[in-house]
Amino acid sequence: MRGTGTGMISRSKVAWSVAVLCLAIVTACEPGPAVPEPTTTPARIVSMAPSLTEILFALGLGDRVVGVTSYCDYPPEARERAQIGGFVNPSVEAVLALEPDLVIVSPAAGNRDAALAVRGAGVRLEVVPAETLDDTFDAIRTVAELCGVPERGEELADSLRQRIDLVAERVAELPRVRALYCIQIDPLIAAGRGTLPAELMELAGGINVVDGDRYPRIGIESVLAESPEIILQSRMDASDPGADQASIDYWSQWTSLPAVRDGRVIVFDGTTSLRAGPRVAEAVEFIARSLHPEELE
Amino acid sequence: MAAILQFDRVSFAYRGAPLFAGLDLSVGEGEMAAVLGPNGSGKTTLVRLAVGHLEPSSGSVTLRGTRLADLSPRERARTISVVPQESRLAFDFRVREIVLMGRAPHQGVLGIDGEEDRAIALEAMEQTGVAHLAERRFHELSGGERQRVVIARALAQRPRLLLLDEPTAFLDLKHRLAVYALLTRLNRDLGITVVVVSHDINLAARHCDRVVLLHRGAVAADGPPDEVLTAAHLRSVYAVDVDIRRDAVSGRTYVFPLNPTDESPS
Amino acid sequence: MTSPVLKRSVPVLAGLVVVLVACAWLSLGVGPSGATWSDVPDLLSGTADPTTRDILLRVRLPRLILAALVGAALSGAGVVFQAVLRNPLADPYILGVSGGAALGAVLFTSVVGNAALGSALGRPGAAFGGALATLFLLSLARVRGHTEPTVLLLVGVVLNAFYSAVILFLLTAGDASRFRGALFYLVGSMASASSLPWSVLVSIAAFVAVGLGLLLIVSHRLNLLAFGEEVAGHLGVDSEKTVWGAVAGASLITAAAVAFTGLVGFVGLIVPHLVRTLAGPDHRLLLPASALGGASFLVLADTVARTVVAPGEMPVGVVTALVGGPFFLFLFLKHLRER
Repeated sequence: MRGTGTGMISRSKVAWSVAVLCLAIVTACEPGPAVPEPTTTPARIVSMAPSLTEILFALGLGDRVVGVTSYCDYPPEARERAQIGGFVNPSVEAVLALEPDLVIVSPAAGNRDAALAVRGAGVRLEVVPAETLDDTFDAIRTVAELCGVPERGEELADSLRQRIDLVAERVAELPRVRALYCIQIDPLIAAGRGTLPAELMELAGGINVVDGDRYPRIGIESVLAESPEIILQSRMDASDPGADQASIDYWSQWTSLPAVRDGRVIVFDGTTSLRAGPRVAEAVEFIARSLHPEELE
Repeated sequence: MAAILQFDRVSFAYRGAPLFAGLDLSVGEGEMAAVLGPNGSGKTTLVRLAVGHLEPSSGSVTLRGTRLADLSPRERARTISVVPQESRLAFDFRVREIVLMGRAPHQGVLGIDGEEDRAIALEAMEQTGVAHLAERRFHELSGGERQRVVIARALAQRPRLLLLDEPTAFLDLKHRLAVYALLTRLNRDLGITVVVVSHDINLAARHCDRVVLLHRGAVAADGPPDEVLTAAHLRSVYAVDVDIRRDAVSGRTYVFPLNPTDESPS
Repeated sequence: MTSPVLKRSVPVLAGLVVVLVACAWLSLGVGPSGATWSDVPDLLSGTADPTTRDILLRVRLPRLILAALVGAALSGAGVVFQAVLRNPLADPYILGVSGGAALGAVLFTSVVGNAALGSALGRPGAAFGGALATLFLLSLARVRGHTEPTVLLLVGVVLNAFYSAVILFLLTAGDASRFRGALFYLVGSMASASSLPWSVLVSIAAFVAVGLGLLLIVSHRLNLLAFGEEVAGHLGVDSEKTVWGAVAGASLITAAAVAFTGLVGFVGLIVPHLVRTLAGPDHRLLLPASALGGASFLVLADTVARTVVAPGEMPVGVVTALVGGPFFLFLFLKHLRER
């Protein structure tokens, strides 16, 4: 069963892919540095996106990963790999210095130039979009194929899909819960239509109270008017122990919110629901349990 | 005659370039004096020292017996008013508002004008012939009108001493004559001491009883126009050969410039 | 017969107060949710539902109060800077005071992070400190006891450039969430008003009121500065003291404003101009009139900012620029044609 809500293909992703395609054509036509023969079992893989890093490790390819971004914090072993810079502004030099035989990247604002530069230097670069839920399954399969373990990809993708379908089945009978997924408090930014968290939240039986696209900066008045029954607050600063309480303190002042009255402001690790990676099922399960604590285990 | 403005052994240098060295100068109450001299002789600096805008490095400037340094700006402004060479106004004030600014040294901090202030301002505008321009904006006026408004503002201060720094520099012939005629009236009828710094040698000679000729920060000559404005003095100060004639109106000396001398300007 | 300036001032200021009250009332009743003026009686009698109460009393009311205070502070400061620099293009940010405030705020966000309520007073404090430090640096423009407006301006430009560079560096070096926080601060917003305790709002109000009051006292001397510092001196004004007193006062109320709301642009530039065109250049009237006008303007701008793209919010600085810019241009051209 396909997930509800096809993710919107972002314009930037299309433009990005077109640009890479053009460069591919150009490099193919021009005598440039020789592109190495694609190998079916790359041994030195660099991931330029946290979601792709998680996928690689989940497919058991962790020991082939030589470079990750500074945001690739899951699984813990990923932190031991060499860092190539940020997700939005990676360092081309750092990537090339690792002499990878495969670099995988998910298009995002800002990493286009770096990716093109890597390909232009003759390194094998594959674009694997990882933004929506559908992307997740495709990305798992694609990465598995690129690395010569297609059967593991199928297995992982199928198991994730099964878990998500199970949740969707169980919440189909239950009343839907008005929910807000909040990314940041200052400024107040929430997940709107066309985002991964919103998609997962709806699969888990929630109604997104945010009537906007992507990640709008919203006014608190709109939140008050929508009266969400539950607020899912993505943990903003993992390094700061006081940040969780500060978030709860912030929401606690809005006593007219049902979510606050019923004590349903949940601060949690947002990376599971913000990354189109292998933990999306875990995220859907967590959100569903939060939305329906009595009905589900 | 009591001295209203006195320079006692005043020395002043602009960033290391000495100008005045022990200058002594005394202006008596009720005088109408002109300060003449070529560029760089120190005429404008003299005005600035007299007003306290600049401080002498040694010596003192006294105003009616009190040292300038001991007077607050307000106290000083109640005695001296200045008409600068040109006036650049940043905002669009009306003539009436500008003349009223002259009352500031006599008013409270908010400068709310009372009946007396308005009466004095009106009188000043009438004396300078700009009363009919009271509601006009400064920028709409001609150069001559503007200068007369500024003089009205200086008059509204009710000064004992009026200092003018080349007040006719940008005026046409008619307005130059009008300004000097006005100054003479103010001096004779109201007893205001007038000191005019000028390039206009002949008009100054016609109207002023005393001419101070400055040369490189020192007084080259000081006295009645006929005595100061001689060919010899003018040659050594201005490096110009002149012909001394008679002014048909005042009967005083009239300087007719001839040629610059061969010497480089001293 | 009373002074003409007083006679003109009273009706103009009274009219502007009425306009401000009207704008505040309008702002209270307009928003993306359904809460509106008809809910006010329920509010007063205590029978309003909690959501409406929260929306009217804890979101809209604090925001319009903060917008009014910031609008008044920025407009008043704009009048003063234009007078002191004798430059009608001056605004409260021109001397770098706001740049210092911004740097303080961005530094705070970069170092301390985005913890929501903890920084309710921390970031404004850092911003205010940055502004004060700038005021101190500006005093370097004083040479041998004398300050040239041109030199002051130059020092301000240099400071602004330096601040911009450091801020940009901090923004790009930090992580995404802190970047967003800092960016929205730089662009200006009244959103923080809803989280401010009433005691803080009252303190800001007192600070701005006292500041504007003190500036009003020197407003006559600002008139006298119109011909330049030397002429002001001829009229008995201690120009150095007046200039620095005015700059300090205007800088402090600017700092207090931007510390909480970020750099809201255009208000301090447009409102003094508009009001000067309508009420004349006499600063004794121009200053309070601009403060009142600026308050109304920003209250309206914030109402638009938080309503038009609901559930989203526009930065209020976008509204002030989009609305104020063309309107100012129109008025200016009209004024030129009349001359």
